[in-house]
Amino acid sequence: MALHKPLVWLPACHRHLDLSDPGGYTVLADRYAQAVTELGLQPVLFPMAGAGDVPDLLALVDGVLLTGSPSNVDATHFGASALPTDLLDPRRDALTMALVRAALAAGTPLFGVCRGLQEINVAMGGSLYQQVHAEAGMLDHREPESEDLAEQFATRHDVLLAPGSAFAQWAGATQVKVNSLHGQGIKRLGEGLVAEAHAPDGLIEGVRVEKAQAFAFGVQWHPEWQHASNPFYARTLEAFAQACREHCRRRRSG
Amino acid sequence: MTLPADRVPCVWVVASHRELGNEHGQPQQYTVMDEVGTRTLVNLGLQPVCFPRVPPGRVAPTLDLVDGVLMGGSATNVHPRHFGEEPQAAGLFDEARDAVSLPLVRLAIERGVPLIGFCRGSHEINVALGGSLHQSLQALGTPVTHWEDPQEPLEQQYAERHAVACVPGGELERMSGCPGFPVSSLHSQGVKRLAAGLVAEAHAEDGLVEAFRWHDARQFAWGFQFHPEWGHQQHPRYAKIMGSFVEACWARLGQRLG
Repeated sequence: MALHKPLVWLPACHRHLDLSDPGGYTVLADRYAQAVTELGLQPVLFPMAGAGDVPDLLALVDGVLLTGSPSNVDATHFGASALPTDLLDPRRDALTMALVRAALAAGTPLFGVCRGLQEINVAMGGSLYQQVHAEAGMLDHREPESEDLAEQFATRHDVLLAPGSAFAQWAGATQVKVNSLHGQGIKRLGEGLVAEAHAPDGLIEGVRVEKAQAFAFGVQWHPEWQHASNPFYARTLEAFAQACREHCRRRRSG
Repeated sequence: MTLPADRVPCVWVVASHRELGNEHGQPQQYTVMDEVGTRTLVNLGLQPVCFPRVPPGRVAPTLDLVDGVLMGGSATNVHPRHFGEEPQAAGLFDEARDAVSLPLVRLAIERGVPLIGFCRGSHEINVALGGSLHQSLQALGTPVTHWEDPQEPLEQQYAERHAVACVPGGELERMSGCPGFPVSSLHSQGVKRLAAGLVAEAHAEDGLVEAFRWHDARQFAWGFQFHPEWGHQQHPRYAKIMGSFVEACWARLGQRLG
């Protein structure tokens, strides 16, 4: 069955396409699916899946990748209130809160990017700054207002990587430059998470799940962006892919 | 391989691709699925699944993972090159979808996987099997209005717009239990030459093919120009059509599990 690739579940977002189109759509930014495909894995998504479907569906996949999104995690999940300016996606929140916990319990490889990192943190009981840039002493982590995606996704600031951490191994250093395109950010770290990458202003940008049975990391930056030409991003994604391949072998032999 | 839950049929919903504003307001490519079709599958007890950006070379092994295929409508048209024509007007195309859906139609029929197509999905079935399409019914000036008014609210766009007549004694007449019924109509392409191997099952008053199936009725492979997935709970004929697809997917699951 070598033709069958390990399956990576990418929970989708829900939105209208534009103001003149009131229909509901399930959407996924293609760069995540493309990165997963380029790693030799097969992206899969389950439209309309809710928290109750997680146990059945998780058993069918070899990894979970939580993507970034235009929407923010609803602050009610960490005991605050959403800002009037927040774009919310309650169906995604409901799915991913359950999915993070279930993936960790089942030992399914889990990787969170941007909103995905924030989801891991909130699902583990942590909280978020709703606007990092409004906090005294913090950098503005948002992308520049530009038409040019390459400029928006350009490396923007350093992150300091814990010596001996997987992050430091992937970077081959304890400091590396990353892109930065976010307004929310980790405030209180969730239980069982270890902060292993920090921005110069102290913001937690990379976490590991402490007692994970498989790969379980989250990053605030976007390693899927032009990962092939960035060795740090490439090694991060390859480590996730390797974990998915191992999970796939176990699942099929078991 | 155990993607199918072995309890509930998984149905591959073929996705579309659109350029949308990304999380930072800039246009980027997205995989998109209309939720009407997937919600209908869920309501009918099937598990929708999508394989975003599946490379065309991996369509065949991926088809092993499912018990049915659903190809829904889209704002985009099938590229006329697939039926040997140049585009007559600047249209919106989705060539990445064509690249997956056309081989998928042929494979599903070859392997006996139930297949249902609505609107663009029905065009894909016809074109994949060698048929051709009218590129613009508006330009053709058909006596029946087959297209929606973009100014109308969505409910109105999906309302019943014209009647179709089932082929007397045909499978659709048997399935729907009536000789004809009113349908929704939101399209500018339409079947011109029906592919060999397909049988027309219903026509509009102007003669346009509105429903067709694979000639061998043991294989569930149907194309509908209208949208039986939209309002299937209020529209008994739509419910019969959707119910037949659901039965075929369950039968496929049963076969696959032996």
